Amino acid sequence: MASVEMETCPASAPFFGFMGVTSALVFANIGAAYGTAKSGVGISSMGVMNPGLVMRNIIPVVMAGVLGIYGLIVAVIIQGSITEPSGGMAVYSLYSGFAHLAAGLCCGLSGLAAGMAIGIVGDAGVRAVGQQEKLFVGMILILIFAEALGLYGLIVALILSQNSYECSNNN
Amino acid sequence: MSTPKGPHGGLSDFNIHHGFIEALIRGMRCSFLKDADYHHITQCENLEDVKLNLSETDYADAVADMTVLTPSDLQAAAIKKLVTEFKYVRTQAVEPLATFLDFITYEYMIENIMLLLKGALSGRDINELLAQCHPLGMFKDSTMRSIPTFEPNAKGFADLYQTVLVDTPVGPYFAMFLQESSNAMGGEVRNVIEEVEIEIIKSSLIKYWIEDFTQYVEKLGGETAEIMGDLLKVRADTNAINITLNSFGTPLNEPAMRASDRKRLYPAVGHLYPSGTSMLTDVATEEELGRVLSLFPQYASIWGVHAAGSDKSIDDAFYERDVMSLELAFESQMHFGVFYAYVKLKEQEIRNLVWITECILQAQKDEINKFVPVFSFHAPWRASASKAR
Repeated sequence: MASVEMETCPASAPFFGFMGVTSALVFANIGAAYGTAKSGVGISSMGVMNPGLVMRNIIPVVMAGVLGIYGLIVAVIIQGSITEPSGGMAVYSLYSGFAHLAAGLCCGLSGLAAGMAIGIVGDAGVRAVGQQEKLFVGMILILIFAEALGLYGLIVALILSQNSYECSNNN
Repeated sequence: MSTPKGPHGGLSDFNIHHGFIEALIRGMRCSFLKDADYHHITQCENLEDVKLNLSETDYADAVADMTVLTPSDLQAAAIKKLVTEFKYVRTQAVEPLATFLDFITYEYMIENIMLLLKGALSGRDINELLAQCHPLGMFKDSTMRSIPTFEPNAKGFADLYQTVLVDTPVGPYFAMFLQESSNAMGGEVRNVIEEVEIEIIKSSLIKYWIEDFTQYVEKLGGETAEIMGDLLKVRADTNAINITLNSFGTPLNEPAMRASDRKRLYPAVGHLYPSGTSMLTDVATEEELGRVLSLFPQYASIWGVHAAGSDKSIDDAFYERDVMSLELAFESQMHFGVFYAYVKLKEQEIRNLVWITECILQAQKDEINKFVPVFSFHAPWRASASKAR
């Protein structure tokens, strides 16, 4: 009985939890940065000959930024669930640590994938819209589907972060 | 990341080697004449006013030394300005951009060699010919002077290749041409190279150049392959259509010659290749050509311009379409297409200036607006965009 408790609540459990926080934020931000950079280049190039279209075509940049916010939300939520040791004993179990790591990676890597998709589609899309304005609605639809991937990551991360097991303090 | 990179780098590392040069080209892009400039110049009554207006544009230095402006002087000065800019960019370039820029100059080398050969046939003075050569395609003076001294027959041509041309960058194209023509003739020797033959040689060489260039950009990969590949395909198709159109009424249009000789002139790249060019081989009249081209949507509209017989010629339609595609090369970054597009668009601007000054000189004001402006907000294909605003 005691050995199971020892294994479930080692002092290193919070490592996984905090890695979850890190991965959620960092990977989501990498995705957002890539999306912003790639579509930003496209908007700048297109904007030279079509300055009136620039504000409408900022949408890919906004969508890429939202991915960073997803990462922020998940990171804050996970970080709030990591309990500190009390009474000399660890409270935060390895089970919670793994769950939070999974949550962080889910959100982070989905955000990375979504950011890459938004970047490439945004770049090609805004340049195409510069030549043919009727493509605007099509580009927005494609961007929405790309954004949805990040949203799925957020939802699963929120569900995963609910999983926790507290080490009881009686050993 | 998953951005397709070439050997020249993609989004994150293109600027390490080529950022400065691309910035140069983007800066030079601002030197194109704007709508207001064209408006002022077309309103001029005489060439003195044109010179005054040009001295407020980027051409100020070019026209400053001219006491009297003539269209041919203006053309020479503008070309000299373009060559100076190009050479400056070329000295700053590293591989693979250096090879890319060299490829752009090969076209002018081919033109210069053909000019010298044609001039030799008509017995013109070598110095006069050298003055007419395009500055971007010059070799050493001794090389240039030795080209017209060879005999105008197949053996002389082979000698010319062995001694002079094999060392030039365009030597491989001549080698391929000599190989192909000796295969086709079954080893027989052509006795006389006439004016028509010179055009055929030139078309073959340009064809090899386009194919070689396309292979090189495909090897570079990434955005360069995409954008330059498209531009070169359009170039190849323009050549194929022009060869076919110009061959009507010449011996090249005979059924026997069509399959053997004319077909050899069509480049092996382009939207029309391979199905379109095989159809073009059998075309004998303009009607048939129109029917073949109507199968390809991008050329159907251009052919429509020609068939309608309005005052816009098929060359104008081709120029317009070229300017449209070349401007698009400037809409993305991290690729080499901007360099090729800059040279070609500057050439179009020089053509525009020559057209306008000729119209003013000959007092033909109603023809004066038939030029294709570059980077214009009022261009015909931008009409819908500017109306919506």
